[in-house]
Amino acid sequence: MFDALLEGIVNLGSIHSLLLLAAGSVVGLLFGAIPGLGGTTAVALLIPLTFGMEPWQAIILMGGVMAATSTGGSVSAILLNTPGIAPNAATTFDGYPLAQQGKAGMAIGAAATASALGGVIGVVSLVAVIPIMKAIVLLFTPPEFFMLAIFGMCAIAVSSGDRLLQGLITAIIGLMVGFVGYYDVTSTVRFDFGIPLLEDGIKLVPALIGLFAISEMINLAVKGGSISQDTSDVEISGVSAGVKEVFKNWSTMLVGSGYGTFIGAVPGVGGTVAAFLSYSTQAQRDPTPEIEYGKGNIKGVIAPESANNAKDGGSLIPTLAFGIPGSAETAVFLGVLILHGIEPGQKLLEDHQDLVFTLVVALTVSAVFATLIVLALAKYMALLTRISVHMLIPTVTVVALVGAFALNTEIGDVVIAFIFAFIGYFMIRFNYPRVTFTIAIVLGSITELSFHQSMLIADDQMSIFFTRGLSLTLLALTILSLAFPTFRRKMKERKEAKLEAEQ
Amino acid sequence: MFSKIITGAVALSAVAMVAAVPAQAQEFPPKNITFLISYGPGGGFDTITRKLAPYLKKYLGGKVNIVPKNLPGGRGKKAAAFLAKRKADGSHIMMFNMPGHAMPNIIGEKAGYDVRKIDWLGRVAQFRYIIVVSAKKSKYQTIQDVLKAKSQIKIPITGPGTTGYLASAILWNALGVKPKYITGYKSSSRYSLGVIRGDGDLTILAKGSFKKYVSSKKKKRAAFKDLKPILEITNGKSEFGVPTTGEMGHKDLAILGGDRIIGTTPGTPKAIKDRLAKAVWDSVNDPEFVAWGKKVGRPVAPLNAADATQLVGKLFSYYVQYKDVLAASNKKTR
Repeated sequence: MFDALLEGIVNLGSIHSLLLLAAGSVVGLLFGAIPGLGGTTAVALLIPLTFGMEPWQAIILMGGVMAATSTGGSVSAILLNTPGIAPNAATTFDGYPLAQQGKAGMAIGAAATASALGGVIGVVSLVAVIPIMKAIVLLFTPPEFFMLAIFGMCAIAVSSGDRLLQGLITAIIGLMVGFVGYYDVTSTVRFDFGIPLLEDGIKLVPALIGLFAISEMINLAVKGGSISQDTSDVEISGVSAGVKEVFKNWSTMLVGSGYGTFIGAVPGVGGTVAAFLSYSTQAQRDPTPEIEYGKGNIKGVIAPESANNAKDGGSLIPTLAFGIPGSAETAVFLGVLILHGIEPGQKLLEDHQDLVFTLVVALTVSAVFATLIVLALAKYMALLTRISVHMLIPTVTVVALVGAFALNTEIGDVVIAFIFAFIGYFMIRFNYPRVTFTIAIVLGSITELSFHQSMLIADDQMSIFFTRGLSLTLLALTILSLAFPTFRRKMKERKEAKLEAEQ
Repeated sequence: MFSKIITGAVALSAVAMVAAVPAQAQEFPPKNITFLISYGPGGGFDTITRKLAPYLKKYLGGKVNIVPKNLPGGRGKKAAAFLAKRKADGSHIMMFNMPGHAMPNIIGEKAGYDVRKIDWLGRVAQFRYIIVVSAKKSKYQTIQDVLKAKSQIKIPITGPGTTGYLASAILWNALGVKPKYITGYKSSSRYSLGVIRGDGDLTILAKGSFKKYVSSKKKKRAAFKDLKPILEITNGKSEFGVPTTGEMGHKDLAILGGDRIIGTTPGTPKAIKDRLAKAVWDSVNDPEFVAWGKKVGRPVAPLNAADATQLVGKLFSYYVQYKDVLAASNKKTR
C-alpha cells in the first residue's frame, strides 16, 4: 500500500500533473459556485478531454474537479443565499445571515478552511479504513437508513427556534413536495397531475435556486439597498478571522468531517444529508449559543462545510469495496475509469492500487488548492454583498435561472424555480422558516423509502427498528439529541436560580 | 438556336439534379450528430455511448462531431420521445434499452414514441442474467435449495415495470416459485449490495455487472466472497459452472436479458439511414472497440440494421404476452 501511495505522489509530482490538477480545481470551483451546474456536469463535460490522456492523468484532472466543487458552492451559498450544489444548502442557514451582517469575508474564510480540513480528513479516513471498508458499507441497511433520516429530521425542531408551529407547517409542505413524482418501491408516479415535468419529481436544485436565490432577489427588490445591511466603514475582509474560527471550533469541524466520511460511505444518502446532520448535531450540542443558529453563527458554517467535503473521501469507500458509486460524482468518475479500459470493483484495488492512490493524493491536494484560491479571492468576492440591488438583482436572477435550466436543459425547471421563488418570498415575508422546508424535502424521500423497505424485509414487523444494534443506537441518539438541549437549558436555569438565591 | 440552348440547359440541370441526389447522401452528415443518452451521466449507457461516439465520427468521414448529450427523465422516455420528434434527417441518434424502452408501448402508456416505428441502425451490445445469492448470508446456496424452500424467498430489486423485475417475474413464474419482492433500490448495484448485506435472499443480475464482484486473483476467483451465482439464464454452457435454465428445460427463457440498440428518428431517408447503419456496424466491429468491450466486461454483440429491426419485433411480441402483469404493476396512483 505504501508503494502505491508513493507512486500516487510521484504521479502528481510533475509540472504537467500539477497544471492538470489546478485546471480541475478551477473548473470544479466555478461549476460548484454557479448554481445548477455542479461537479457531475463538470466531470461529464471534461470526459472527451481525457481521451488522449493516460488513465492516471485523467484521474488527476477528475480528482481536482471533485474535491473543489463543494468549496465553490459554499461561496454562492454565503454570498447569494443560493447553494451552488445541493450539499451546500445547510451552509446558507448561517452563512447568508453573516453576509448580511457584513461578515461575508469571515464566513467564506471559515467555509473554505473547513472545506480543506474536512476534505483532507475524509481522504485520510478513507485510507485508514481500507482494511475494514466492506464492513462499514454493510453496516447500514434500510432500518438504519430510516433511523438516520429520523435523526436528521430532528434538525427541524432545532432550526425552527421559537417558530415551531411555522417550522412544522413548512416541514409538512416540504414532505408533500418530496412525495411528488416517481416512487421506486411501487414504480408508480404520484401527484404528477398528468404533467410530464412532475413525473420525475420536483428536482432539488431548481427548487433550491428559487427558494433561496430568486426569492432573496425579490425580497431585495422590495427592500432596496444591498445584501450587506452594514455598508458603513466596517472592514469587509475578516477572512483570517474566519480561518481562525475553524481552529478555535476544531471539535465542530471534526464531528462534521466524521459525519461526511461516514455518510459518504453509505451509497444513496449523500453529501446533502451529511451536511444537514452535521448542522443539526452542532446546533443540538450547543443549546445556548452566543449567537442563535440561523442568525449568523460561524459554527453553523463550519459544521456543514467540513461534512460535505469529507464526503468525497467517504464516497470512495463503497467504490473501492464493491465498485458501487457512493455519490453522483463518483458514478461519473467510474464511467471515466471504464472509458479508459479499467474495470471498477474489487479488481480496482487489486490491480490498480497506484491509480487509487493517485486519486487519493489528487483529492487531498485539490481540496487544499481550491481553498487557497478561495481564500485569496475572498476579500474581492465579499464585495458582492455591497453591490447595489440595481446591478445585483438582474445578474443573480439571470445566473440563477440559467443554472436551473442548465441542469437538464429543461425549461420546466425554470418554471419550478419561479414557483419556488414566490413560495420562498412569502416565507420570508410572513416569517416562516425555509430551512425546515428544505430539510423535509431532502430527508422525506429517504425516510419514506427506507421505512417501506424495512417493512417489506420484516414482513410488517415494527420490531426490526428495535432489534438491530445500530438502528437502536441511532434511535437512542435521536431521543438524546431532542432531550439534551432542554436538559441543558433546565440545568442552566437551575444554576442561575441557585446563584440568584445565594446572592 | 435559343431553344436548343434552353433544352440543353434543362437537360443539363436534370442530369445535375439526378447526380446531386447520391452526392447529397454521400455528403451526409452535413452537421454534428447528437447522440442522445436517455439516462444521467455515469452508468452503463452513458459510458458506452461516450466510448462509441469517436468511432462513429471516424466511420462517418471524421468531418463532423458526434456529440453525446444526456437527456434523463421519465425513466428513459424523455430522450426517446425527443428523438422521435426530431426532423428525420439523421441528426439525432440514440441507444435504446430493450425491452425497457418498449414497456410504455407494450402497456399502452403515453410515451411520445413507438419502438416499432423507430428506424433501427444496429445493435451494440446485449446482456444476459444470472441469479446470485449472498455468499455468506443466504440460506440458499444452490438453485435446488431455492426450489425446495419452505419459507418465502425475498428478492431485493428495483421496482415493478423495470427490466430486471420483469425478467425476475417471468423466470420465477416459470420455475413455480412465488417470491416476495423488496422493491425501491435505485440500481442493480444497490440491490446487489442489498443481497450481500442480507436485505433479501437472492436477486437477478446482468453477467457483466456481476463480474465486478469477482476477484482478479486466480486463487480468489473460484471462491465468491460477496455474491455467488446459482443459476444462469442461457441455453448454452454456464460461464460459472452453475445450472442453466436451458438444462432445466426452460429454453424459452433464454430471451430474458437486455439489448442495446441504436435507432434514429422514424422516417429518416433510406440513404441516410444506410450510411448511419454502416457507420454503426463498422464502429461496433472496430478491433479497438471490441478489445475495449472485452477488457471492461462489456463485450460487444453486433447486429446489423435489418437483424436489429427483426429483434425488436421479436422482443415486442414476447413481452406483450405479459402485458397484463406489466400494466398492473405500472398502474398510476394519484
